[in-house]
Amino acid sequence: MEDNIYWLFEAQKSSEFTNLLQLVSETEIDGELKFTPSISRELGRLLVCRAYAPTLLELSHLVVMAQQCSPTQPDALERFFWDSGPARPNVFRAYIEKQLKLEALHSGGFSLSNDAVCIKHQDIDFCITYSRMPLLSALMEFLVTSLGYRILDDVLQLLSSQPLSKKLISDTANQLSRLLYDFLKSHLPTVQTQKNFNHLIGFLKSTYPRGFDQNSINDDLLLNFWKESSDQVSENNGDFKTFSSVYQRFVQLYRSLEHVGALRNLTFATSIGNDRDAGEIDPGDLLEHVEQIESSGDLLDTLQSPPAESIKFLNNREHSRLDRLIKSGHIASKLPLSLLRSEVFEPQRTRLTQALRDKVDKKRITMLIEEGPEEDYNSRFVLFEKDKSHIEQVRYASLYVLLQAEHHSAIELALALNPDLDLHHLNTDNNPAPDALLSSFFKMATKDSKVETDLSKLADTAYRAFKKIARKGFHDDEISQTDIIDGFAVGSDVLNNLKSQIDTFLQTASQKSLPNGDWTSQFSGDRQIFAKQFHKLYVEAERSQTSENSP
Amino acid sequence: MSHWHEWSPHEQKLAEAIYSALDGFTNLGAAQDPTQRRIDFTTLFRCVTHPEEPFPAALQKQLTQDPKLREDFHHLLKKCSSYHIPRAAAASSGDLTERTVDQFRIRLRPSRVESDQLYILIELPDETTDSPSTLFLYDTQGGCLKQALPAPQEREIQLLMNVDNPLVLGLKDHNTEIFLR
Repeated sequence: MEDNIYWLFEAQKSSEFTNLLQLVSETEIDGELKFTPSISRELGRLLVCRAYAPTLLELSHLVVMAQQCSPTQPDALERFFWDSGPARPNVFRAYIEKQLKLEALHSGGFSLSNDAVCIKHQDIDFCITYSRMPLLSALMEFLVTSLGYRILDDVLQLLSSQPLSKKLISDTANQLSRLLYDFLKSHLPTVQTQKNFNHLIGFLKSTYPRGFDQNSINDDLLLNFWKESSDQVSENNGDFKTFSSVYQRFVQLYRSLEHVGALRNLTFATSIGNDRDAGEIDPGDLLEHVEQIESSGDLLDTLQSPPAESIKFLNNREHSRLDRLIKSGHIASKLPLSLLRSEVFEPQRTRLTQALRDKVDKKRITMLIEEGPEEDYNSRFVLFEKDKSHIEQVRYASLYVLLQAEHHSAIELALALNPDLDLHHLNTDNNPAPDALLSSFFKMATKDSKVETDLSKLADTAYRAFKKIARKGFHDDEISQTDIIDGFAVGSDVLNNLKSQIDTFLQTASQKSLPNGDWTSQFSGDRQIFAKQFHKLYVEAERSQTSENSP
Repeated sequence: MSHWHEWSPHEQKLAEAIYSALDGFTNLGAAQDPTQRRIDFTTLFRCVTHPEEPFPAALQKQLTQDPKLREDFHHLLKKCSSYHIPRAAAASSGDLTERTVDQFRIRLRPSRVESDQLYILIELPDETTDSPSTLFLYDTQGGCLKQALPAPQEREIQLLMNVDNPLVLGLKDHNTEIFLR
């Protein structure tokens, strides 16, 4: 019986591919994530777009280098990829420099520079930068997880058992490519995804028979779609069962329609390509499109990747609370009510499914439904405002660090914090050199300046903000370290973007014309709608399923 | 702004491809149930190559359930081990008291002092320069035991164990393989 009502508990069945990708992204080593979130996402893009062939060729070259790191050890390759530490450029560099013996360097044709390792041997002439190695390592992790170690090792051993040549490396990469293609063919949920896409388009067509574009996607449409489609679990694999998954998929659809629509507007022809070209989409092109779309969603990932990851700009709760809003990008402001519905009702939905898993009685389930969510829309706005204030404080604190380090990013950040900043004091010559201006800027931007200027006041505010924060990276003994300063430089830019996005969202939401008038009334109305739908999905459906299974 | 029905088949296909790609990794970041999580290869490799790393119970369970994982683990053990004693010949009968391969032997010798204890003695070949730090006992069903080894004394590693210790019982069993690293 449990198998039959599996769908009642689970929002959707994750594909094997998603599970494997998740496994890779959650792998830890030495107490931290082996791969940064941005590397995991980059791997995901590479695989779903099937644009991995060139990267497999790079990986095959890296395997050759890895085998040379400890040429007498049978597990040299494994040590490189699974025992060198977290997959970071500086970690790989340190490992290679330590392991690679001079003898191997000269005889094997290897050379090291600050940025890369190069092989020049027979007809091979190839370099791999250290910054590329984390992605290659992530791809290797996916290969071993999906294909299996035995199969992978059998292929890679050819690189150490035969005379090295360009052809051998290329053949190895091709073999890996074939194996990966076969795996993805049967594990990427292409058919189901296509069905879902058609379902979404079909709904738009029936709602807007005269035609639609991405701007036809609005809050009412999402709610209607969810009410209609959420219980058709067997048809759509449960992919539309929860409101948050509906929101997510409509954001994806919005992005894809917007992107292709923009391309149409750029090209003067009426279509991209022509009908005769209506064959497969080139993987490299697809990856490029997806990367362009994804770049706006990577803000939070950037804070969790080097160099910003060494500073606790946001704690886990803040990160989690802002995740959906930031990943939605500008679309959050197009669908503010849907975003809030996802944020506020999803935790209640999670509690319901957990209760069902725990086999809680129907009376209790009904009570959980009637109780409603733990927060409402107004309290969520309060939390977003709190996050915004925190980000503002962290921006000022970052300015203090960058001013202390006399880092050029301080200027941009200062102007972002105060666009009307009066800098006329800087220009004491008719034709000042850039260096002189910079020097003057940092001289004046101190809290202890004898002359009070906008800059000195800003520096004072920055200092006070810094002193109030007791998180990692915000201590006096840390802020002179190069990696910390770099982290603040990268992080401050992200924070500027985060603040801007949150501001836009809050402003749009405050001006939104709501079906029920104001946000308080809207929440009351939505509570009833969601209660009715949850009852349908989690009480009535289970009741009918149970009676079907009764002898 | 153009409408969907005005787009060419290729443009519509591109939109679908982009949607599918975005959907492919859309749930990245959602926490998985830790009890259902597969063992990642990094953990597997560290378990085999680092003597101080414990043998996770989750790995033990998954080895007995997943034939592919068993194959991979066995391959890794073979590759990373310095010495390997295969399963005993089918002709042997009764419990084994000695396991031998070309280079060395493992003996089980009862303790003279305690009747419920015995010694596991691992005799290293004369030419050995590196003493193994870990012993793995592996059976055909995926059951595996990991035992850290002390430093040898005069080319012999000694372990004192109870007679019903799983390692002792496993060493006596014909169907187990031994890997030393």
